[in-house]
Amino acid sequence: MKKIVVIDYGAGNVKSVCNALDRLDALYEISGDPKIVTQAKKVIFPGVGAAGATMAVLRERGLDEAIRGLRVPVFGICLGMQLLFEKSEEGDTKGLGILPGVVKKFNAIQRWEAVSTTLKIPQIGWNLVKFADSKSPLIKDIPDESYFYFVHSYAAPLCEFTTGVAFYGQPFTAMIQKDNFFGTQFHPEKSGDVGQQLLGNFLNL
Amino acid sequence: MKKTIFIPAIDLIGGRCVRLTQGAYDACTSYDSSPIQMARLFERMGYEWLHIIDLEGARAGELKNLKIIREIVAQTSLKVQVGGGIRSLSAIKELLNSGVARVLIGSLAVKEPDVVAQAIQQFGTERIAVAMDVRGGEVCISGWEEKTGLAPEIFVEKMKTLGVTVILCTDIESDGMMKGPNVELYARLVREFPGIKWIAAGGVSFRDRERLQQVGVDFAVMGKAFYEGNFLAKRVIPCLDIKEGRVVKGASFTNLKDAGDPVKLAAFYDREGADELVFLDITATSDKRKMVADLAQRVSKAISIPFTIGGGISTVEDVKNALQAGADKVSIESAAVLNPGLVSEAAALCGSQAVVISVSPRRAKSGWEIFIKGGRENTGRDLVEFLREMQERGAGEILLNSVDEDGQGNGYDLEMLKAARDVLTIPLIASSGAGELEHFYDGIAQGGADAVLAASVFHYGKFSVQEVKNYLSTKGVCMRNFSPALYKKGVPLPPRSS
Repeated sequence: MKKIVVIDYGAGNVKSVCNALDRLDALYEISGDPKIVTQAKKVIFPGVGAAGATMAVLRERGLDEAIRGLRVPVFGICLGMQLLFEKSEEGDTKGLGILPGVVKKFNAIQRWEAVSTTLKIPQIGWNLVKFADSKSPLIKDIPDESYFYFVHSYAAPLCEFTTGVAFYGQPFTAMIQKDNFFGTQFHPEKSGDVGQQLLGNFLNL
Repeated sequence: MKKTIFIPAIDLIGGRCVRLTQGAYDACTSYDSSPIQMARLFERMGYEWLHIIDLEGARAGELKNLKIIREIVAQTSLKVQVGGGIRSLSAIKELLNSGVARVLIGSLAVKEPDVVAQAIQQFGTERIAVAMDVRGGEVCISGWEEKTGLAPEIFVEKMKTLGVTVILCTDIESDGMMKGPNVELYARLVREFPGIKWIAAGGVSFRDRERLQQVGVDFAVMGKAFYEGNFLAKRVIPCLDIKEGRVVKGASFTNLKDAGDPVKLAAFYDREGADELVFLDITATSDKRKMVADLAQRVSKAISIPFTIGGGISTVEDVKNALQAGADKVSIESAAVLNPGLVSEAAALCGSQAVVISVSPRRAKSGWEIFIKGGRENTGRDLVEFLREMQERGAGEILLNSVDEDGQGNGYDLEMLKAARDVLTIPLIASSGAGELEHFYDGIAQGGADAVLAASVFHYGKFSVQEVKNYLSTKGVCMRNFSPALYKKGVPLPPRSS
C-alpha cells in the first residue's frame, strides 16, 4: 500500500508536521530511507536547520536523487522549499535544482522612501500571503491575503513558479509550485486554521 | 457597498522596472527587473488593472517607454493606465491607440485644459483621468515646481467643467510613509463629488482595503507596499501560568487562583485568534521536567499555533526536553541571570528563534533592577545592560515583565518598554499590567513592543483575544486576520489511504 511519507533526515524536527497530520487524521510514515520515499504516494519534506548540513545529509543518504526523481506530489516546507531551488546563499549550498533561482539572505534594511527601518532577522511571526495563482489546489477554501507563520532568515526570489507572495521589506516567494513540486516558506503546521486547511488540501490532491 | 479595485504599480526607466527611493532611482530587484514578468505576476495575483508611470517620460516631457508599455498590453490581459510625460493630444492618442485603457494627465490639465476637453470628446471620459497631487491641503500638479494654491475642491470643480469624471488623487504626505492613505481626504472628496470616479494613491496597502471601501473610493493604486512593504503582524499572546498541570494566575505572583485545564484553555485561545501562547510552569516538584514535557506534548497535539514554555528552565537538557516534546520556544528567566552561558549554549544548539528570555524588573532609583525567583530576590542587575548581554548571547526574543505592574491593570510600564526597545534588535514582548484595551495599543505604539502578552484579562473574561485584536486593528496596528468561518466549517478530512 502506498503511503504519505514525511521525510525525516535526522537533522530537522518533524514532530510539528506530524502533529498537524494527526489532527487531520491522516495516515503517514516517517522515513529517511530513499527506497521508501520513492515508493510514496505523496511526500512531505519539512526542513528546520541549516541548508548546508541538510543537503549534506540528503546526499549522503541518497535522498537528493530520490526527491528529484519523484513524480508524486511533493511538499517542501520552509528549508524544504528552499532546497528545491538551484542554490542557497546560506553556506553557499547547491540545492536540488528543481526550481530556478538563488535563495538569498533577507536585506535587513527596509526603505520606504524617507523612512528607513531595520528589520529583525530572522523574520518570526505571522505575515500576509498574497496568492498568485487562484487555481492552485493548495489554497482551496483559504481566503486570499491570509496570514501564515514564518520563521526564516533566507528567502527565495519571485519567479514564474511563484504561487504566493509575502512582503518583508521586499517581496519574496511564500508559496511555489512547479509540476508535482509544491513548497511553502511558511509553516502550515503552525499557521492555525488556514495552515491546517492548506495541509489538508495537499493531502486531498 | 461597491468594491474598491486595487491597482498594482510599476515605475519605468529605460524599459526596466525601478523604484524611487529618497529621490534616487534604484533598479527594482523584485522580479529580475523585467516589467513584463512583474506584470504577469500581478495578472496571476488576480489584478485587473496595472498602473504604469513612465518616470523617464515625466522628466523628459515626452513618452519614453512606449515599447515596453505596448508589450505589456499585448502580452497580458491587464487593463493598463499610464502616466508620465503625456503632454500633448498626440501622446494621448498614441497611448490609447496602443491599447492602453486609460491615460493619466498631470500638468497638461492645468496648462492646456482644452487638450483635455478635446481628448475626452474623442476617447470618452472613462479613458482620461486627471492626476491631482495634494500636499498640505493644496493641489500640486506633478511636474510643477510650485503649488497651485488651489484647494482640491476648487480644482475638481474646474476639471468637471472640462468633462473629467475620473481623478487620481495622491496624498503626497501619505506617500512614502507607512501610515496608510489619507482616508479622511478621500472621504471628503467622495462625499462632495459623488459623480467622480476616485483613484486613491499614496501609502495604500492591502490593509487599507476595508477603510477605502467604506469611504467609497473606486480604485486604489498600490505601489510601495509591493516593493518595500512589511506585513509582519503584531501578536497578541495569552499567558497561562501552570502549576501541577493546572492553570493558575494571581496578582503580583501571590494569591494564585485556579482557572482551568491548560490544554482546553489553549485550544480555546487558538480558536479565539490568539497568535501565540506562553505557558509558565511554576511547578516546583522533582518530577517537573516530566510534567513540562507532558504539557508540551499535549498542547502541541491540540493546537496549531506556536507556543513557548518557561518556568524553571535551568539547563540545556531542560531546553531540549521542552522543544523535543513539541514546544516551539522556551523561555528562560532566573537561569539567564545566574548562568548566562546557558543562553549562548541554547541558542547555538537550538537556534535563536527558540530562545526567549523572560525578565522581571522592578523600578530602581535609576532605571530598573532585575528580580528573580518570582519577584522575590533582587539581583541588582541593571535591565538595559542585561538585555544587551542577552541579545549578544543569541537570545531570540525578550519577554519583559514588570514586578511593579504585574496584576495591577494600570497598563504596561511604557518607559521601561521604550528603554528596552532602544537597545534591542530582537522582538520585544510587553507583559504585566494590561487592564484596558488602550493598554495593548500603548504597549505597541508607545512602548514599541512587537507582541503584547496578558493573562488575567483573558482568563477572567474581561476581554476576549478577538476584542483586543479588533481594537488594535481599528487603531491601524497590523494584525493577523483570522477567519472563524473556517473553524465553523471545519477542515475537510482527507480521504484515508485505501
